Amino acid sequence: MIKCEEVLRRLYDYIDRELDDSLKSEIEEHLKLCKYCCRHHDFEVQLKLLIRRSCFESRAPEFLKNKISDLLDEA
Amino acid sequence: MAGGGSNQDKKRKFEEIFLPLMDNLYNIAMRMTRNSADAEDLVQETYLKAFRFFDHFQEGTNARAWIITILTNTFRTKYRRHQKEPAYVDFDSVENFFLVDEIKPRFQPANKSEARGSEAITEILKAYVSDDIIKALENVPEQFRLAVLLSDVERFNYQEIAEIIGTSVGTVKSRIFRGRKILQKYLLDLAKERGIIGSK
Repeated sequence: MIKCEEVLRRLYDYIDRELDDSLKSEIEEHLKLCKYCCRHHDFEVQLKLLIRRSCFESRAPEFLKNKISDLLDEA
Repeated sequence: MAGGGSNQDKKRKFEEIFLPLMDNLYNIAMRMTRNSADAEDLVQETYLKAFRFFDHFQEGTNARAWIITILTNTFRTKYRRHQKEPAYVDFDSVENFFLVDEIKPRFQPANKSEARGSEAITEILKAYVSDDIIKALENVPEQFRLAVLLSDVERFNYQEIAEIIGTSVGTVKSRIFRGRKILQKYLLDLAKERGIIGSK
């Protein structure tokens, strides 16, 4: 079985869906059995989601939309 | 303008494709410039540039990637110079750093059955509000920050990010890796500052 060290090294590739199928399923198998790596995995996934959510709290101001539309008229 | 139909058509088409993406652009601009005045300017300039180059845009290709490429290039040439960069980062110290390991001790569950992975993790991350995450992101040096944003927020794959930034997939990977580690290190310092976890 693939080692913890290797799983942690490839964890971001796995989470970001950058792995080929064989390595992906090897890591999947490992995560089912290894609490330590699973914890790492869950943490990274949730932090990634939290970053996304935090960033999407700000929206482009309405006046900017109007201003850009006006400027495009002149362009 | 009389007979200006085609220009109006062009504008309508451009707006139809690109205006719905303004929140995405504004978010990246906010995180990269770290202030709303510059972010507004950057978004505005990006749109004007994109409109000028609209003829080069191939319909059916990824509009979001196309306009974000323009935004990142504009940012690089215009705003980068007068930005004060976050303090120097010692990369070696973040290479093998895992925030989740640091936080573990204080959150030791009372009994084993409580140690249910995801729930415990959620508890850890609950200690941070959006502003903490934003601050942590803004503390990450520019190049790394951009790579993290494009992956986590915009959900581009490494190849797409490489094309947007104009670099190799290998460079993208290492920037994302380091960016996330630096961010986590900042979150750890924050937790220590607040006494959420004790220093080791």
